[in-house]
Amino acid sequence: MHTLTPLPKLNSSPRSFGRPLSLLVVDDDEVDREMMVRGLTKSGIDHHIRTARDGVEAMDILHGQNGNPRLHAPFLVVLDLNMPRMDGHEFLETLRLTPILAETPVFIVTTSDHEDDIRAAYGRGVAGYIVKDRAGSNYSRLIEMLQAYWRIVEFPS
Amino acid sequence: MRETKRSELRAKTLASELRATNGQLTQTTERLKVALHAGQVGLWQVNMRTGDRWLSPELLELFGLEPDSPNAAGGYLSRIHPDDAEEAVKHEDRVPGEVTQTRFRIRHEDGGYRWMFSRSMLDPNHSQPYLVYGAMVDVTEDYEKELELERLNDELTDTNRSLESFTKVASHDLRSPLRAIRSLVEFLREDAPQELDEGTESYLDRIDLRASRAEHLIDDLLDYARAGEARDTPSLVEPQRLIEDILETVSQPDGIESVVEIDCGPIFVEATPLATCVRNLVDNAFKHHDNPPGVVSIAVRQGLKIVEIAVADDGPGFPSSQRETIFEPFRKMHARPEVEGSGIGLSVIKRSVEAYGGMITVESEVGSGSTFTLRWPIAALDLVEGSAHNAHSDTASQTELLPSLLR
Repeated sequence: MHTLTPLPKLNSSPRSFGRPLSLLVVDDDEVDREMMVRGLTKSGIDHHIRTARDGVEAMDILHGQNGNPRLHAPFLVVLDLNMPRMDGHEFLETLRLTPILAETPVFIVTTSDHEDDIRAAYGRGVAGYIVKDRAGSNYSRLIEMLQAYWRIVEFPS
Repeated sequence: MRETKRSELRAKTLASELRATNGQLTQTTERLKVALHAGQVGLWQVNMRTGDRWLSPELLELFGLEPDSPNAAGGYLSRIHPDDAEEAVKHEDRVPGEVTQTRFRIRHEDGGYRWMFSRSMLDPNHSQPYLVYGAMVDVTEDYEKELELERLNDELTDTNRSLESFTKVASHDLRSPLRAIRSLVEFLREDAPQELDEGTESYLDRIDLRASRAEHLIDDLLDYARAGEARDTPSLVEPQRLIEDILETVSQPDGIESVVEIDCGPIFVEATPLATCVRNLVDNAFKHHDNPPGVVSIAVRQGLKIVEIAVADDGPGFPSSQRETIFEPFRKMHARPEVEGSGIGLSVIKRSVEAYGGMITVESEVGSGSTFTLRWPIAALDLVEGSAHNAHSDTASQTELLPSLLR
């Protein structure tokens, strides 16, 4: 007779469990930023979203400086690449060199499908690289993916 | 007495032999002299122990000197361009019998510098391993052409690079506002408090349609710009699979049949651009067929160094006077306004196949159809190794390819 070994009990749940989806969207295109907010609102997902127009603004929000209240972890960053002042690659490089922010999960969401951009992004440890044209109408597929990611993924504490 | 006679005879024989040898030698020397003069080849010799130098009259002439100029050899080193001083004496410290070749500038009597190409060798007989013999020619014209070519090449590389960054910027900056327009139309529809009336609905549809067409146009323009880059590396392609895959992805209208005829084994070609070209040709043939039922036939034949793919239709055809212009960008031939397209497809195919060293031609007649023939070069076997290097790909898998290629 075989006795089934009981499955180990799940004694921890992701740090994001039960919290609203917390996002920082960095994109210089206001319509694309709005699309994210609209998409989340429409899908009924409980969310907490902050937006920045470029890398400089995003850094201000992450550091809680220049009049911006700080965004509290855990959160996901959705990052465009082509932006004025500080572009996505520069932002990512700065982020990875900042001790308290270095491990932040980042998704690239951009119009560029250039292989140099893709390679550079994964080289700096992004969680995923999404080309806007394939993110579904009104970002529907992107939002679904972010929600699933948020629900089941462990974040560094 | 006898002895003397014999000696005399021997001496005579030797003398005539010597004369003959002398004659041969004179002949050889004469030949060499004329050839060196005609070929403008200068000879030189240097004794590495003493630094003594001998320059042939032809060499002196190359420097613009009289063939019998005194002290010319002594002034030789001072004629070398300061930047080439090291290169010019590369023949030193060499193994006997090993050829050294150098290219350096020498000051000509007219004040300018000339490029010289010199090949030399330490005495190969080991008897005097300090004597260097060399020959020199003036390569100024060729080398300057080469330098000019290099300069033009660098310029072209720069131009290409800025064109590439331009297309990158264009694709982002032109596409973004169009995407935004389409999103805003969508927002407007979603937020409308009540059902929109027919007129408003139609205006919104048309805004969306125009924006989407402009997006396609940008995509096509980028395709056209990228088509000339030729950066793919060859791989082994099974023609049957290639055509089957293409027929699966193009939309085949009702009433139009496809016939495939393959007379070609596996070929070593740049798979992706080739497939794109053939797919566009097949897609065109289906799309522009205005009179079903009809047949689109695809024939693949192997030539000596090319693969020939012919896509024939029995569609509308076009006047033969347009055989060249049809490959120019933005030329829409079809009289069917309902057929979508920017008219850039054929020009992309032409640019792409030509970038890989092939060609495309067309035969057509109004009312009886068109045949587009793509001739794509088959990559040489020695490219297998080269491409493995370039692509940093797995050498083992490339080696596995070889037996099947040689079959």
